[in-house]
Amino acid sequence: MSRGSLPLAGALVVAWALVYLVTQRVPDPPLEVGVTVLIGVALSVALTVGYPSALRGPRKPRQPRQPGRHGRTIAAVGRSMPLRSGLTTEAAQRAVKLLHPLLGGDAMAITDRERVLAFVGPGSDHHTVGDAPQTEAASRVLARGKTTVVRSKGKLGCPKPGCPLRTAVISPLSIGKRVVGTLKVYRLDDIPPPRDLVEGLAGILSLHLELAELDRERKLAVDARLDALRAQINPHFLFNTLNTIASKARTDPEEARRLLLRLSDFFRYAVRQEGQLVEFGQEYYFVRTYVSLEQARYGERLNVRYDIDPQVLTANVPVLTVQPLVENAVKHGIADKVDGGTVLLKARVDPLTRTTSIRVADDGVGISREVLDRLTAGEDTANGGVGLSNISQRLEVLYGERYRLDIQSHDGGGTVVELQIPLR
Amino acid sequence: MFRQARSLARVRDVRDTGAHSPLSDDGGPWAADIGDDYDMPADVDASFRTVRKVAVGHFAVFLCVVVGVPVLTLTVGWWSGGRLIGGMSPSFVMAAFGLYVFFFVLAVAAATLSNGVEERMLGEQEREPVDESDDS
Amino acid sequence: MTAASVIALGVLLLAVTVLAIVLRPGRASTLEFYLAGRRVGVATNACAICGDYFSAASFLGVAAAVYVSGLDGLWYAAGFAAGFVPVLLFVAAPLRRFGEFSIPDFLGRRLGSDRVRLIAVCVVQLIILSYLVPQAVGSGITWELLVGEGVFGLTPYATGVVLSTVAITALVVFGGMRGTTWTQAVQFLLLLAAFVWLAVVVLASGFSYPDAVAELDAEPLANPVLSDGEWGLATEPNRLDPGAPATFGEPGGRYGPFGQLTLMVTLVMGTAGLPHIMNRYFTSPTGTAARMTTVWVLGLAGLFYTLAVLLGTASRSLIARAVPEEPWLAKLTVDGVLRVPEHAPLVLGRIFGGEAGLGFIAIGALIAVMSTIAGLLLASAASWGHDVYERHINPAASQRQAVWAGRGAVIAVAMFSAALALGLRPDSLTALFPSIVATMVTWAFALAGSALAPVFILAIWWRGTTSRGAGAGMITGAVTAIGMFASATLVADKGAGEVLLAPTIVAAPLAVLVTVIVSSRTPTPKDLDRLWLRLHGTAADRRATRLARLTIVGVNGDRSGR
Repeated sequence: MSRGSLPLAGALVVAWALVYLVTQRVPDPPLEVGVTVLIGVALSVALTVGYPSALRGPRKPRQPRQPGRHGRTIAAVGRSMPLRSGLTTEAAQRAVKLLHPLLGGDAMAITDRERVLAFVGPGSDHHTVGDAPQTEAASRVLARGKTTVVRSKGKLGCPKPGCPLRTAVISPLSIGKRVVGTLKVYRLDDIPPPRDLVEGLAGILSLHLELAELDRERKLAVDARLDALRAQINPHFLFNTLNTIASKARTDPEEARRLLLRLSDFFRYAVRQEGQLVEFGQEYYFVRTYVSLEQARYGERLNVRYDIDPQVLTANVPVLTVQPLVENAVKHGIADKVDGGTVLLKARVDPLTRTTSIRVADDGVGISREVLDRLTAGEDTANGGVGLSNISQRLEVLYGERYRLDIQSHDGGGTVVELQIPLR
Repeated sequence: MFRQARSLARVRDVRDTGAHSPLSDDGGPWAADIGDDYDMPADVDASFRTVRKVAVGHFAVFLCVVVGVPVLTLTVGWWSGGRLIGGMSPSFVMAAFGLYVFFFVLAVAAATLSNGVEERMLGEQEREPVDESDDS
Repeated sequence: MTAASVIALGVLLLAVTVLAIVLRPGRASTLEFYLAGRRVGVATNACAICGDYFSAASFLGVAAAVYVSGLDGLWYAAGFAAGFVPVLLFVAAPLRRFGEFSIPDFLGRRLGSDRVRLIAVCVVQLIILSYLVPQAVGSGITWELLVGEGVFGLTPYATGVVLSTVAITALVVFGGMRGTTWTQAVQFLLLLAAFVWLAVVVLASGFSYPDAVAELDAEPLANPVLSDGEWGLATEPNRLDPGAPATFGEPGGRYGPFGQLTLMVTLVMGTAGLPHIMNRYFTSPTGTAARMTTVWVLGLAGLFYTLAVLLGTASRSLIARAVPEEPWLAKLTVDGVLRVPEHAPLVLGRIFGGEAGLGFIAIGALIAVMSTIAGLLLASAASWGHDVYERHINPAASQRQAVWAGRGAVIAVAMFSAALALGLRPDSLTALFPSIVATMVTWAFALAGSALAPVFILAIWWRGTTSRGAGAGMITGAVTAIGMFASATLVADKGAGEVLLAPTIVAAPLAVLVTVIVSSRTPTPKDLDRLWLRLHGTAADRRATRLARLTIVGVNGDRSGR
């Protein structure tokens, strides 16, 4: 509630003061109490509801904007980006509907390599969605990747005799060098549609398709990174824990059994494959499991304190983000400190700015600059550091610009890692 | 090498041991299920703090309402002079019905929240993770 | 009016005794006797807590307070219900999880000190006594009206006091807590049934709640007073607006500017320190169940008090109207207003249900008294028999001896409270404190809320509480509360007297302050982590739940296997 609530409170006070001034001081006679209260309440509600979205910033990372080459309306199409989610039937139909009035053609179609995805205008009786592209010109464009202007009905090559379409411009839609489909604009008379316009538009749509492809790849990459993290359970940790359990097996079999159960819980969670987000409560359980295993090893040298808001427990956080932070604190902060130390995990939710903030602090030896650089650069996996870069890359894909991951470390004075992500 | 006594101190309710020992000790089919009957001091401390936050927060709301009623009586004339239903003033309606509804709602909210906190912060987790990664 | 009601009463007493004997635990272990072996369901336990809690003060007192003072009388009911909110938030679950026998035992074990246990025993006994006496008074009043004549040469009032005390003592001595848990639950349902019945017949007769309030509000509130040997109506002064008369639907009939606040604080804090209520929490199977039990209690209490307030309003409006037609009302009323306000629900019962109606409500009142007395006696027995006898007098006592020590204590405490009740004829006090039963119960709440509850809550939620701090806090709270009462009798209930009569608002913060200051100057016990695991950890809860689930699976599996 700290960051952001105070300004809101201030704004509310100012709003009420204004309402009071405008309704009670300025007019004569002053407005009725009921009306005044109603105005004030409405204003407060508007402020409270509008405030968080103003603070939240843009929901997605800023999209590269397409300069409108063909006037305002085309620029609008460029911004609305009908094909942003990929070349699907639904997206193609949306695009066709949007573009059809702008292009000066009578009919219009979008195809991928195998089928017609969308068609509007005369001729839609036999150029049906789902069929293979029927014109020869289309297959030529798909093969060569160059825009073709068809100036006569014969060259169009429609197999149906009564087809009203006479001329056309066919442009390829491509991702990089790969042609994935075509954009076709037909006319019923002998003057073909403006070639530049169609070609330019196809270019815009191609860019959108490229962006969609990029998104998909990034998502795949994130999954890969998560898998890498899952596979990356530090062997030292496993050996140490197993050694601890082995030594306990004789002196305290009951505790050894409990530790084994905890270890199996730890692995079950670490390797589970579902999803990028989990409830904080689950991640917290994973942290607890980890800490109890480490405590069996470090004994009284490792103290942990949790300070957790009740609302955080049900907030969603990216899986395997909190435990690695704690693990870093134990490994780089406490392990090397002779008389041990305390790790503090603090988790808060700010309902107004709708952010979850998680803070892991330790009073250990602190991380030296070189190690810190290696951690953040993502090179350090050999000596067991959990790549902070891995976490930050995943966060970036999940939240774009809307997350913060700060690390402060003083040599000998402990480390503080602060993570802020949007609440959802 | 290090002292371990503190790390896994077992919670044992002395008077209840008779009831559970037959099951937990013979390692029967439920042995794996019964591995969870201890808490770590740090975990208990954490859930204690969080539950205390819940309790204090709800108590503050409770106190505001309970103290607010007499304060309204003293300050706002409409509170005891106005008429809501028949001859009942807002104050009367509050005292005759409203407060009980409020107490009950507060109790349900506080109890479910505290139970939820304890369930999530102590013992095993049994729920599956949610997957909402596709909406971004 | 006697024959029918006496028979009904006889049947009731017989039924209760039979229940107690049938449900008597087979082997009288200490655990069984005091805590019903800790296996009581949430709903049953909630009903039992209500049975313990809804005493004569709730059944007769709330309606009486509304009858006398209108809106300001409603605050008793609100405060009684509100008391369970802090119990839910701060006490229920940890108390059960720690799992001792009684409040003194809890404090003694938590703070590792026998001295704290003994101080707590003293406070608990004081609270129990100040709660027992008004209950006995209530049963005396009810008997007076219901039967109207005494036996063995006693006055009707004395007969009521003695008979109810003897019956309940026998029930507790032979039944133990299991017996009383079930009977308490059944008794509460009877109580609720009595109120529901009365509310239904009242509403069915065309009574309109809002209109009645409007109508009562039209003229100043006047109550009977005895001046120069003559009964007459005197208008209540408005304490918020000097000079103006008080009315039914507006504040000022009973409390000055701060009276309402101090009363609320007293009742809110008090419940968390009532030994007979807190002991019930030990019988829940888990801490979570204890918490849910409280939610149920709050729901049931809300229903019960809503009805009580409705009936108080209805009696004010309907009894005055019924006076011309019901000649028997003449000797109970002055110009249509009852002399003893506690008679209100009883009279209403007779107006609408004749002899049987009166009998039903009277039985409800007696049950309310008896169930509360039973809970109080049991709490008293637990504290004497367990905390004093087993811990200090005879640590090597066998279970049998401990149980008998508890039984002995029950008899002694019951006799003492009955004697006090006989000494306090209500007539002599009504002039000073209207609706005497509710007022007297407030004293118990004030003592509990000043001396016990603050220390109790601190011990649960603040690690730093020490035995010396707790001891000092309890003594400060108790001494302040009692001192303020004593001075209240000199000032009566005007002005500063309002605070003096409900001293928690001063005494509880003082107790907290003293506890915190002394605690921070003394070292805390060393094995705090272990205590904390028991107090706030859910390991035992989870084990109990899992075992219960396994048992159910096992039982069902056996059945399907056969």
